[in-house]
Amino acid sequence: MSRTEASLHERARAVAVSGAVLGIVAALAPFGLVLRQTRIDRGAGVSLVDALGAWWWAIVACWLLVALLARSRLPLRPRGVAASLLSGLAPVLALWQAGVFAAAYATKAGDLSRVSLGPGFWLTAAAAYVAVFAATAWLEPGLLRAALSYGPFAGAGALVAGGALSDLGILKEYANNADAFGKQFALHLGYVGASVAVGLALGLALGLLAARRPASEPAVFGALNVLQVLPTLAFIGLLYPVLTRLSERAPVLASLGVRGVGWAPVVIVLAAYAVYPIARNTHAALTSLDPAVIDAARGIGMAPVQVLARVELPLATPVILAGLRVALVQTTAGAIIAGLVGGGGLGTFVFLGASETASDLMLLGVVPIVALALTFDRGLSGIETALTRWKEPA
Amino acid sequence: MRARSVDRQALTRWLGIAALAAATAWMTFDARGFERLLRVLAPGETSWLYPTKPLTTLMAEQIWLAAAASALATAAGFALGALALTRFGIAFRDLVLSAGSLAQTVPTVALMALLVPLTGYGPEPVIIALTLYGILPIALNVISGIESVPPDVRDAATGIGMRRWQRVIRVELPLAWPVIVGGIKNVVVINVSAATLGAVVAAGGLGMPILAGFHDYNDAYILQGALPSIALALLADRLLTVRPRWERG
Repeated sequence: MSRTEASLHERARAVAVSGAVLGIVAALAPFGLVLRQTRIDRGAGVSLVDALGAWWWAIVACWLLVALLARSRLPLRPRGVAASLLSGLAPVLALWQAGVFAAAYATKAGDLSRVSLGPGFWLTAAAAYVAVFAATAWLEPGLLRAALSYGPFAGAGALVAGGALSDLGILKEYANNADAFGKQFALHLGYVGASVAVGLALGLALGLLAARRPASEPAVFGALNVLQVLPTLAFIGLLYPVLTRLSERAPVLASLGVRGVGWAPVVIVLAAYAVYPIARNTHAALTSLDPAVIDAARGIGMAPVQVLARVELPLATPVILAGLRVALVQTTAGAIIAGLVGGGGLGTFVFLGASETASDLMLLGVVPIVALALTFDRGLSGIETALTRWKEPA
Repeated sequence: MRARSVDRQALTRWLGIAALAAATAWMTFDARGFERLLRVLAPGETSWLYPTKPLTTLMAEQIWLAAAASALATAAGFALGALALTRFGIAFRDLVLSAGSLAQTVPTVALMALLVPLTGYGPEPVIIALTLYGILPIALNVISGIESVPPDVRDAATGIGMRRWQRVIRVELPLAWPVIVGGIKNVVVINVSAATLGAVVAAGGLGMPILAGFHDYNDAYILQGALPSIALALLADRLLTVRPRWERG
């Protein structure tokens, strides 16, 4: 083990301890859960310790054990496995017991009442993120480390799927909007897919153009940069009169649903934002290839198209994928705007919730957006790592 | 030859900045002139200026939201970056990096909306949300700026007898300054643009007429908010971005 690795492992101790301390603070914080008489009530806070009955000590014990493990002399592997398991367990336990508490509260306070996850719970989740981040640093990269990092998400998913949380506010909102949720979720994914597909095609083309004709580079990236700076609302606003008139003049477009509001401006704007990271990375990847490799490919008689398709693009793929990942995450978050301009998608719940100050309805939109973005981010970076390893065997 | 082409680049840049500044100022202060333009662009409407507030107020609100959030994010980002560089804090460096990419997955406007139950409608949720988004990029630039100071320079400063804090203030900070300022400028550019979204939580700013226009199907209101906010965002970008973005890596 190198000296820097050893010091990294030592440093992770302090991070894990601070995660555990944050976890205990979060459990004691006054707004662990928020109790409301109605769904739009301002609500009163109750700490996790007060809400979770006898279970509070299990959560605090998790954090205390994490802190002890972090200070212990146990070998790296058992220390890492135990500390990440316990850190991941704490928020899942809290979530499960919050569901139990919500069920009891509902029978007591009536059907209109709501129990929502409050800042104290989200802080517990943040504490777990910190502690798991530190504890997995003691493990070698691999399947075990991945399982321990993503285990808490699986746990939360299992609780939702198993119905243990169905009395929590966010899932009550889901139950009230189940049909709409499925439709808006699919629509959101559709916006992301369409915009990123257009962005990918244009980004590859413009990146290639800028790499092949350096004279075009300032114009290409200058224009993309201007698009990048435009405020989302203003960009959609600018398209509004243009698209309205287009749809009046061309009945074909109108029959496709192209209007000043709706799907058309959303996809145009999101695609325009998505081009930049892909074009930039394509350009960077193609201009940084080893010229000797390209000479060799030409030397064995490959045509320029073959060199591009069979040598340059495969070598550039990991870097282009990194750009695609940025575009995907950005677009998944950005597609929320569709809910504001009559385009639907998960943003619908966020803006409807904002107008009613109903936090649970807002979360019904935000939580799936974040989950989608994280899935795209982790999935694509996994593919990037796999491709890089495959290209450069250690 | 080289010098002349640099001069020409600088000249084009300043011409662009002057044009954008003039356009922004004209739209903001010459309400009648701007209304004449809106009448031409949206001839079908019967009302061309957002009635609730004049553009001077909306522009001031937009700038105030962006400035307040940028100032708070700079202060907090500096503190966090400095903390992450102390002997104790260095352990948290990777965590800050990782949390920064995690924060990208939460839409800005969603955070503004989620803050409303805590803060009420108005400028507060916007300033808090934009501050939170700005802290990590600034902290990251403080960290990478200080870390980019060559070890030789650091050793030399220690060698001539500087204390640790003297070395930080007189050697490391000046050398890291361009990177740190670059990070702050990026955050300001993002905030000037994102403040438009503040209209969603009734914070004021140039998004207000845009939303009112969508609501009333009034092209003129939409353009009255969109054109100045675009001019302002481009002006901030041109003014603060010295090197073109694609060369920044």
